Amino acid sequence: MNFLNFNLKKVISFVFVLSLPLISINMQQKPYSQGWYDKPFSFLASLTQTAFFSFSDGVRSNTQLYLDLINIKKENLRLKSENNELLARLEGQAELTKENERLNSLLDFKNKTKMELIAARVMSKDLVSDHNTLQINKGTHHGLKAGQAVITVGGVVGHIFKPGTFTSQVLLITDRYSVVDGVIARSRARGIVEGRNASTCALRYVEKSEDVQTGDLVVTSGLDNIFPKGFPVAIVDTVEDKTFSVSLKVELKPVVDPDKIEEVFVILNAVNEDLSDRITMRE
Amino acid sequence: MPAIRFNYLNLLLVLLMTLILCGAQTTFWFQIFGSLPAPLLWLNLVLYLILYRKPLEGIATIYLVALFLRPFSAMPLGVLWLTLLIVFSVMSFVKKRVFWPGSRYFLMASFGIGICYHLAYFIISKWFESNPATVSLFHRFFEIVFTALTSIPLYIVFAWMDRMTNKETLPESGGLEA
Repeated sequence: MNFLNFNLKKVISFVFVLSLPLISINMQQKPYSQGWYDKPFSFLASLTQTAFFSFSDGVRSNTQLYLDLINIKKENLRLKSENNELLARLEGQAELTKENERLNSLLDFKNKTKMELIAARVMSKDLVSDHNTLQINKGTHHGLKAGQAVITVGGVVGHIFKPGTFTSQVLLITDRYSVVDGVIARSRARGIVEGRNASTCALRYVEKSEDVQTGDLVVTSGLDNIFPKGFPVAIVDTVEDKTFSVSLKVELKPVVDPDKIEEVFVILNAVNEDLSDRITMRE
Repeated sequence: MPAIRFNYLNLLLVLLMTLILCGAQTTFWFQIFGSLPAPLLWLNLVLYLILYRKPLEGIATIYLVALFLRPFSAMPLGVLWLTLLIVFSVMSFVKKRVFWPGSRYFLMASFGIGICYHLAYFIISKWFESNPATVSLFHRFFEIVFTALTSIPLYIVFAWMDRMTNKETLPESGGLEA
């Protein structure tokens, strides 16, 4: 039996195919840096998502229009029998008022804060369910950079992960790759907020001697130089004190539901904004 | 000479289809259905490449497709390549033993590749990442089911793409020759 009789071409192909992902994993040291080879693919992805976003918007508005038409027809029939046309108008106005209130709160927040903000709309979510990212319709063209904080009026959303020219990928605080320096607003116990899955986070490295209770609000510490100090991140869901662990096991529920975000703010400049007072007032 | 031109055209169509499927999955589905688990449309394309391409051509095309998938996700390229390599190996192994051309096989294989992908990614994540992926059985189950449900219309589109570009496929029972 001749052990040296093998197909060199096949062996080289096999080694090449196997080594490519392993070399790539090994070279993945700076997740924020985009290689030259990555840019055209990101640009194509951005174009595709923008096209689909416009298309989806059209489909949604047309569907809404169709549904509205059906509703109007039904409403008219009812109104004809009841002779109460004004009621429908009032209902429509109530919906507009709600939308107006939501947009006003966004505008109010933008006007009141000292931070330099840019508003963006959520376009899409991650390709795989194992990661929690969102694509927003603003990019480097609008002044966005990697590492900038993304928030809503209610609390922290995440940070800019991969900025493209016209769109950017936002890494949500619930993603496994995300870490945010946080403190318990009540007891000032410090820890690192780490993503778990689509709807939960964990507060890690909290010393056992610290005072943490269910329902406590976790806010940003401001030490990571990404988020302004004192901005709400999550609420403590469960606290476990395990005998053989050096730290507390704290499960968190984010204050902002990632599935319900439609508009976000990207912080271009936080100018040392401290929101701790706002939290104290809320409490 | 024309055959080479047709192959390039087919490759171009495959890459264009990758972008369309990713856009439809991440943006269109999200805008219309919100947080409902989305079908992994691109995985059906990967499956088609495994089943209807020669092994080396298949893996090379899949690696190229991965470059187009990457901007749509936070997943590192190396992890994506390794996951696809495992999926490719497992599905090729199955194909060599059981294979018959047609949409019914594609539907069953789509169920298989869905399970295989999630298992492969879960194991790689446990192995390489400090904060590995969670089980999320419910979510993964729906993703697998939705992926399989979309496989038949997509198979028709992929087969049409091959026919239109005169792409040489080997649909004999038993799979492709080595």
